[in-house]
Amino acid sequence: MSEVIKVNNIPSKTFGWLNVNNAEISGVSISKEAVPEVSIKNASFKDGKYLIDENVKDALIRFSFEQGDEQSEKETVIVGRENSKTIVVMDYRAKEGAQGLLKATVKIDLEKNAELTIVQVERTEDVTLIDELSGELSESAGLCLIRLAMSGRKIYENCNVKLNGRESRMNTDIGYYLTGDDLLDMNYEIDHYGKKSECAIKVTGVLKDRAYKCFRGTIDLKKGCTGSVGNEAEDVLMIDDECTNKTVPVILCGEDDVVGNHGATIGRIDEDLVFYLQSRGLGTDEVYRMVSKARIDSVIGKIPDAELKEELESITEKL
Amino acid sequence: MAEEKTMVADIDRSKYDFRYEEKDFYRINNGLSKDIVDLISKEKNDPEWMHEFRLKSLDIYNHMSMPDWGPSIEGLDMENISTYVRPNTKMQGNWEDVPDDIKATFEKLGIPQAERESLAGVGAQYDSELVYHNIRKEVAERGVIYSDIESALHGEYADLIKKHFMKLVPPTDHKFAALHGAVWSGGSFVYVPKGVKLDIPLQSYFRLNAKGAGQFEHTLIIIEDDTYLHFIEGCSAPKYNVANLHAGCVELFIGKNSTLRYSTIENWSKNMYNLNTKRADVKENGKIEWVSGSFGSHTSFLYPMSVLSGKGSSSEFTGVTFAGKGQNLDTGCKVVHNAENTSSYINTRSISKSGGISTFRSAVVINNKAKNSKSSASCQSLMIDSESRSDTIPAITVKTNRADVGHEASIGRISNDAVFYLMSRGLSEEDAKALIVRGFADNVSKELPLEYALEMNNLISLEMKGAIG
Repeated sequence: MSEVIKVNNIPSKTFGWLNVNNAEISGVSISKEAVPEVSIKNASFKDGKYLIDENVKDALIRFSFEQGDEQSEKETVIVGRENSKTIVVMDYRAKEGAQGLLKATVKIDLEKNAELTIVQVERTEDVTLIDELSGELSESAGLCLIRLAMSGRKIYENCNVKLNGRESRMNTDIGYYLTGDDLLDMNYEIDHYGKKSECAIKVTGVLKDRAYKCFRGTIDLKKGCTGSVGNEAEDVLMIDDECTNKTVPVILCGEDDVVGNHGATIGRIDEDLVFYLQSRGLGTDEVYRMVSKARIDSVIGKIPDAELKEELESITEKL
Repeated sequence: MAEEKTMVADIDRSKYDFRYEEKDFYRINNGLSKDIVDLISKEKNDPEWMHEFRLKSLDIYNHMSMPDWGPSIEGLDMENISTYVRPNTKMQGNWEDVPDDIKATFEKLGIPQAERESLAGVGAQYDSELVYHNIRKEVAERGVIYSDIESALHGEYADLIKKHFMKLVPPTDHKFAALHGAVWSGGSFVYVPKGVKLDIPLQSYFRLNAKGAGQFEHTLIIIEDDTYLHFIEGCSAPKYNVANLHAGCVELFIGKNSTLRYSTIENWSKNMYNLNTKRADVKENGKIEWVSGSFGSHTSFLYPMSVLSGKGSSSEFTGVTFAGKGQNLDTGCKVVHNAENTSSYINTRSISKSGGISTFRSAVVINNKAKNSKSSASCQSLMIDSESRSDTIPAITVKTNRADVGHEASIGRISNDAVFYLMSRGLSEEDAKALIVRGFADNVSKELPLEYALEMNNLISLEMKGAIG
C-alpha cells in the first residue's frame, strides 16, 4: 500500500506558509534491496559494511545504480578506520523510460584521522531519487562530499553529519543544473560537537525553464564546540522567469566561542559581465551557457576520479 | 592579579518596574468565551458590524491550532488572563485631568515631557483603554487625524475604518490575530491627508499595569499620497510572577510617494508574552521604514511585515534585540515583493547573554510580478557567553529570474583581534571593547530621535571591564 512520506525535515521549523519545513512524496511503497554493482580497491566488505583498514591510503569504492520501475531502498555503510584515506564514487542513473523510486542511504563512520571523499552524481531522469547521507566523524577525521544533480525530475537530497571529534571537519561542494520541470529538494545539517571542528557548505547551481529548487542548510554549533567554525555559501543563477528558488540558510548556536557565517546570492548574471562578453562577440544565449557551464564545471573540477570527471565534462560541453 | 572577564550588564529595569493598585478599576473575569466577547463589545459601544466581527474572530480562534514552530508558550493560559481591564477614568485631552497615579506613571516614563518638547501628538494607553490623547492644534489644522479608534468608529471616518480594519492582518492570519480580533481594545487611528508632511513625530505609549491581564490595542494608520509621518510607539509594564499577554495589531497603509517611519522601543516586563502582529502595505514609490528595539518580554513572536504592492515601493527594516536571562525573543521581519522595481533592505543585530535566547527569523518573498526587484539582508549576532543561544533562520523565496537577492549573516563573540587593533591605535582596552559593542547596536540608535536613542542606550547599559573571555 502506498503512502505519503515527509522527507528533508528542517531541524528548526519556520513560518508554515513558506512551505519549506519539509517535502512530501506521495505514492511511496519501498522495499529494501541489496546494493548493486560495486567495484572495490583496497577495501573489503564484511558484515554488511565496507571497511577500509587502518593506514590504507588509496582505497576506492565505485557504486553504480541503475533504477527501473520498482521502488527500492538500498543502504550502504562505509567505515574508514584510523588514518585511512578513501574515495567513494556513486553514480545514480535510471533505466531508459523508468519511473520508479530509489532511496539510496549511505552511512559513514570515520575513525581518528580517517579521510573520505564521496562523489555522488545524480542523473536519474524520471526516477524519483531520495539521496540520504549521514555520518559520524571522530577526532581529526575529514569528510568531503561532492554532489552533482545533473538530470532528474525529482531529487531529494539529505545530508546529516555529526562532527563528534575534536578538529573533525566536513566540506561539501554541491552543484545542480535543473531544466524543464525538474525538482531538487535539499536538506543539509552539520552538527558541531567537537572542539575546533569545521564545516564548509558550498552550493552553486543553475535553474532553467520551470525548475524548482529548495535548499535548507543548517549549521548547528552545539554547546561545548569551542573554537569551531561553520561557513555556508549559496550562489543561484536563475535563467528563466518561471523558475522557483527557495533558500533557507540556518545557523543555530549554543556556544559563544565559535564563528558561524552564511551568505547567499540569488539572481541573474551581473549585467556588466553580460555586457563585457557581448562586446567580445558572444550572443546572450551563449553567455548564459558559458556561465552555467562554468558553475557546474567548478564542482566537477573537484571530483578526484579522472574517468568520471572526463565523462561529466563531455556532458557539460553540450549544455 | 586575576583578569576580570568582559561584562555586559543586564538591562536596568527598575525605572519601569513600579505599579499601582487597580483602585476602582473595572476588570472582566479571566478566560475567553462568547459572553466575555459580548461584554467587551457592549462596554466599548461597538457598532453591530464590529460586534459580529469579534464573534467571528472568536470562532476562528477556537478552531485554529498553535504554531508548531518558535518558542514555547506553554506558560500562557488564557484561563488565567483577563482580556479587559479599564481604569476609572475617561480619555482626557489634558494631563491635569488624568487621575494622579496614572499621570504619575506616564510622568515617570517621560511621556508628558516628550510631548512638550518634541512630539506632534501623544496617545497614552493604560491597561485596556486610552487615558490620554492629544494632538497639537497646528497639526490638526492641517487635516491630520490622531484619535482613539473607538471614537473614530462612530465619527466621519467610520466607513474608512471599516474598510481597512483587519484587512491587512485578517483574523485567519494566525491564532493570536484571531484572538486580537475578538478582544481588541484601545489603540489609535491616524490619518494623514494628501500632501501633508509632518516634521515631528506622533507617539503612542502602552502601559500594562494590571496583573494577569492582556493588552490588545489596535493601531491603524492611513497616510495618503505624497505624505510623511514618523510614528513612535513605546511600551512597558511592571513585572509580576504570573503571565501577562500582549497581542496587539498594527496595520499601516502607505499611499503613493509617501514615507512612514514606524519606530518601536519594546520594553515589556519579563513575565510578558509578546505576540504582536505588524504589517504595512506600500503603494507606488512609497516607503516603510521599520526601526525596532526589542529589549523586554519573557517570550516574543515579533515579525513586522511589509507588503510591497506598488511599483517602486520599498521597505527598510533596522532592528536590535537584546535577550537576557529568562528571555526567549524570536524576532525578525517579513517582506513580500508583489510589484516591479521594489526593494527591501534588512539590517539587524542581536545580543544574547546570561542564558537568553535570541532568534532572528525572516522571510523574503519575491513573486513573479516583482521584476527588477532587489533585496539585501544582513543579520549579525553577538553572544556574550556560552549559556546563551543565538539562532538565525532566514528564508528566501524567489519566483522570477529578474531579481537580485543577497543575504549574509554571522554569529560570534567579541573579536580579540578587533580589540587588539583598536588598542594599537591608542585606545585603552576598556574603551576599545565599549566602542565595539556600542557600535554593534548602533544601527538602531542612530535611526531614532535623540531622546529615544538615549533611552535605548540606557536600556542597554553596557559595562566593559578587563579582558575578554
